Amino acid sequence: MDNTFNIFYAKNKQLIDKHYSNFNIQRNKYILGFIGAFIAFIVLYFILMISLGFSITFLPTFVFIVLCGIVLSYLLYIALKREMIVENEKLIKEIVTYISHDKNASYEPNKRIKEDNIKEMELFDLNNLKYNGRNTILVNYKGNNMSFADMEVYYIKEKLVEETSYDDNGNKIVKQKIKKFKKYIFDGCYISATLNKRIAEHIYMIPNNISDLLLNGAIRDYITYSGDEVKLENLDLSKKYKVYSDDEIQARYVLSMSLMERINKIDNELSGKKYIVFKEGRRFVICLEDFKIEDLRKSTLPIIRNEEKEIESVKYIYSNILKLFKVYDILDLGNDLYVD
Amino acid sequence: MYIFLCILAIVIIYLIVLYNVALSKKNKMLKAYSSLDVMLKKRYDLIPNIVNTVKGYKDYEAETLANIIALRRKADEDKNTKDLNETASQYSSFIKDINILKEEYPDLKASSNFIHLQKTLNEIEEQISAARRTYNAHVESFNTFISFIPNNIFAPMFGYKPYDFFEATDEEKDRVEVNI
Repeated sequence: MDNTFNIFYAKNKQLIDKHYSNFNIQRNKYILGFIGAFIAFIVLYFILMISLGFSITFLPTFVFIVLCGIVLSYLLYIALKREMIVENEKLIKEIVTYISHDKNASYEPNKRIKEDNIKEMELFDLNNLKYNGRNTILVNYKGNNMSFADMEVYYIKEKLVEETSYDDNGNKIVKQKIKKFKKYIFDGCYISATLNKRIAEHIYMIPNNISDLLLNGAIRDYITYSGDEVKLENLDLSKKYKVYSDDEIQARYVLSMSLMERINKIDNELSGKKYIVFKEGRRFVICLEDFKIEDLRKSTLPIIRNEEKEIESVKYIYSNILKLFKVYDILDLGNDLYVD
Repeated sequence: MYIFLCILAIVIIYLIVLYNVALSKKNKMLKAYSSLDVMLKKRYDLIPNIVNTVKGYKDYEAETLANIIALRRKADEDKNTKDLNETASQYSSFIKDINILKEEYPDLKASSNFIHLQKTLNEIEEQISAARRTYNAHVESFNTFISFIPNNIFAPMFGYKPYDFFEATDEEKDRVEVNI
């Protein structure tokens, strides 16, 4: 990775510098604004106090100054964070374009993956679940149309909570309230690509521990895989996944000995629980937990210019995006051995 | 008396379960075998297309043609794993001939028709491999089941015997030389 990153960095140094200097200009503007607003508030405070005829005492003045400082610092933090995100978004787009060599690659931070794509998977019970997402990347990598996006699938759990209070007469009042909170079935990254084999059936690879009733009972209820279990020859893979398909031979055709080894390699490369779905036709999807493009988008940049930290920040984003593209290389999807 | 009846009932239940489970496993195995058979036939059906594509090449003798037509006929007649295995192996040597031919005639390699045939062959080879693996997995499951004690005593009474695996022949096990 280091080598490809170094080439990327050398080629795009000027552009990256431009990002950081843009960020610095914006940061300086915000800091100046912060100082200006802070002074303005204090001056306004004194003018108001004097014009209204109040005496200026230490405690209220001190409280006002501290409150002003806290509120303005928070606003400054939010503004800087937003600027960082804007620069990171540009950087992600550039890295995606650089790795894929696809000038039409699109990255839309606020767009979620199409509902049809999630429905087609038939992996999650969308009648009882909600889904959301963002950071959709659509790219053509070495002739393969790939898409990456953050995806979260959840249901709303309602819990009856009792709140106790006392009235003026000291009588106990118990109020019942319904609290709602999200229970995640899946929270991670959606990776979709075109397989080099054509299949007529669905094949599901479900994490092995999903069958654990105690730990994953709730999750299992919302996963809608179907078919008979296929016991495969690769022990490493069988330890990690259960494979379901209506056609055992098709499952073995897709999951050839070499592909099983490659999926093991992906497991080493991308940690986290994975659901893999091979759909009718040639598409396949990997739902990868514990990986979010949002984390890259929100990664922090150094507030004060520091080339070393800037490189680290770019490297972090680069290496993680490269991991997504590795799915293509590890699975050898460019191997054009089969009939279109 | 009651103890004897209980033991008899247990033995009868055991025999029914043994028979049914073994039958289910055997049927799965036979289903896998028939799928394998279908795919091997599909592979043989490709031969005429390959022959048509390579017909124009001078070294492609009449003898080879006759051989593969005979192979195709034999594939229809194969009844058991051993026969099917042998015919499949002979077919593999035919594939080697085709590959040699491809190396000798670069324009053949460039023919889109030939490329398509090669891809179809690859796909079918993978499907055959998948069918073999499926068949072998079921054979293993069936053989293991009837080999367990006391199943190994009672299974032969119902006519259940171990089946042969679909194994690679010596020719297929040979190191493959790739000329680039």
